[in-house]
Amino acid sequence: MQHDEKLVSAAIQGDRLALQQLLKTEKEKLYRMAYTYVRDEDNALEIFQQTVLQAIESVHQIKEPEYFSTWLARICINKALSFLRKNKKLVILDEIEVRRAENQFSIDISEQLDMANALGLLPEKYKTALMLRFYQDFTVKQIAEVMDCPEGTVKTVIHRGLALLKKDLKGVYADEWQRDFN
Amino acid sequence: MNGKEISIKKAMGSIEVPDERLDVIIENAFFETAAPKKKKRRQWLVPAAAASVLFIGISTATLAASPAFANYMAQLPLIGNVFSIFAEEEEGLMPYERFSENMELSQTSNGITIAIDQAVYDGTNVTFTYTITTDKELDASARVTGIPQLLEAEGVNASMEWEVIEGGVVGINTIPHLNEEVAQVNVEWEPVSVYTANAEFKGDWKFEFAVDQLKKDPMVLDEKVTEGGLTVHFTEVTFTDISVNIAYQQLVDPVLLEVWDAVEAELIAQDNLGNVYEVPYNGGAAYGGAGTREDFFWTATMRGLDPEATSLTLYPFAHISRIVAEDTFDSKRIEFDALEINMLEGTAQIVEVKDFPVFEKEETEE
Repeated sequence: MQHDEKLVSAAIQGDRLALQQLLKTEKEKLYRMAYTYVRDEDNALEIFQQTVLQAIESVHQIKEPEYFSTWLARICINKALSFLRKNKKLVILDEIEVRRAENQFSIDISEQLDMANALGLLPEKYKTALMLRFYQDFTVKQIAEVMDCPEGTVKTVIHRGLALLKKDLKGVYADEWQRDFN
Repeated sequence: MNGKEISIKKAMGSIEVPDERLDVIIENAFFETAAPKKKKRRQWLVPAAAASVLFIGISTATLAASPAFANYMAQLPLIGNVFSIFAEEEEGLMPYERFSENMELSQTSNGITIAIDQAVYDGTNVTFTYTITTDKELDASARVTGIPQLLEAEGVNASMEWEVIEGGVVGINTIPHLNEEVAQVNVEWEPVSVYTANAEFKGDWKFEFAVDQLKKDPMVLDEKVTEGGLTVHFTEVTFTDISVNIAYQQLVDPVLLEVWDAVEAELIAQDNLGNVYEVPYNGGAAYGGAGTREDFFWTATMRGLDPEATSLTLYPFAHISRIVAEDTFDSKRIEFDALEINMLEGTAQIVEVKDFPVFEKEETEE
């Protein structure tokens, strides 16, 4: 999403109302990304709060207004990953439960898991790349900036992520976004 | 397409969003965090006598020659003087005025005249001053929008500082750009509008100008100090007529980042005469191949070095921080050994620190 450059410039220069307005515009996307990592409302809210605080603290460091969205997404992702690391045991238990459920109903897994769950169960880098590409509508170049890796790597990660999703969902996901990517 | 078609976008869009709670979090965060540090600045008042003296000085040279220009100048008693306005509150700015080139570029659009006053490039920062004059009503929130660029660099990070005065705005724009090799740099600034809380005045201004680099000798360094998993690597120091510029890296042990979220290494300086200086950084950049997400390359600039000083010691310190709970930050300060630079011999060495200097800020009047 491209924001009003003037608003972003004002935020960078210390206009707190401008930043507040920008954060309110981005809140749903940030929350949903956080939720996809932790799959729990309270934890997603905690990540969201940390993201907002970090954004307020460091908005002056943005080099160019056009980087605002990628910068904010990066903060959210870092906060989520940091949260997951700190709460590793909890997440592992959660994953085990889901995996158990998967095994129990593996005959028709596509009926059991919806896309959000399948996405949530992907390894972090695939989850991150797919969310940025198909939810945030970032370009491959922007994703490379957020994930701090070459564009070629991003493409590979997206392809592999899609393949994993396809496997998990047994092909039921085929839709418009797959055609958009290339 | 079939009935089972599910997309990532749709799936994520279906995640229920607790809108009100998110709004409360945002509003509380702004309420609870302090406003960004802003330099405390005395309200600027043009001393009537000084302004008239300046005006007389300018009018002698130009009024008779160009009535139109004279009219413009009459609104601008500050030309060539912006640095000194800011120097009232910021140490070490006066040499900027002395060593800057007078640009004298001005453009008028939509009843607003923007003039580039002076500019200087010291190999690390391009700094230029401007004035905005208009008959339009500008309140204290007035500022110009549009970030200046350098033709030599992409995605520059300009810092903009301004002051609203009667009849307009004066400001200093600084663009960090480390390059001792080039004789000059080219600035492009296309102000978009003059913006206030109540109104926005758009216009059509575009400035392109070259700024020569001041002559100086960079001292290449390869000195490292390490403490608590964090290394500060000095790579260069340059003494110019207006400033001392320091280039350094912070290199972070990945283990440190398992506990802490952010790292910020800074400097403070003290000369052999006992003067202590702030050394604010201009900005940092992370380059490909960085070991961790917090490995940054910084440039920092110090102003107002005492001309009698013969050595300068740079004291690195860092803050590592993290969020430990809701709205609670935890941070830790790390102090390092220092780098002593002998300016007469052009040498540098790491020295052990006994007393870490403290910069005493002068209280300014409101």
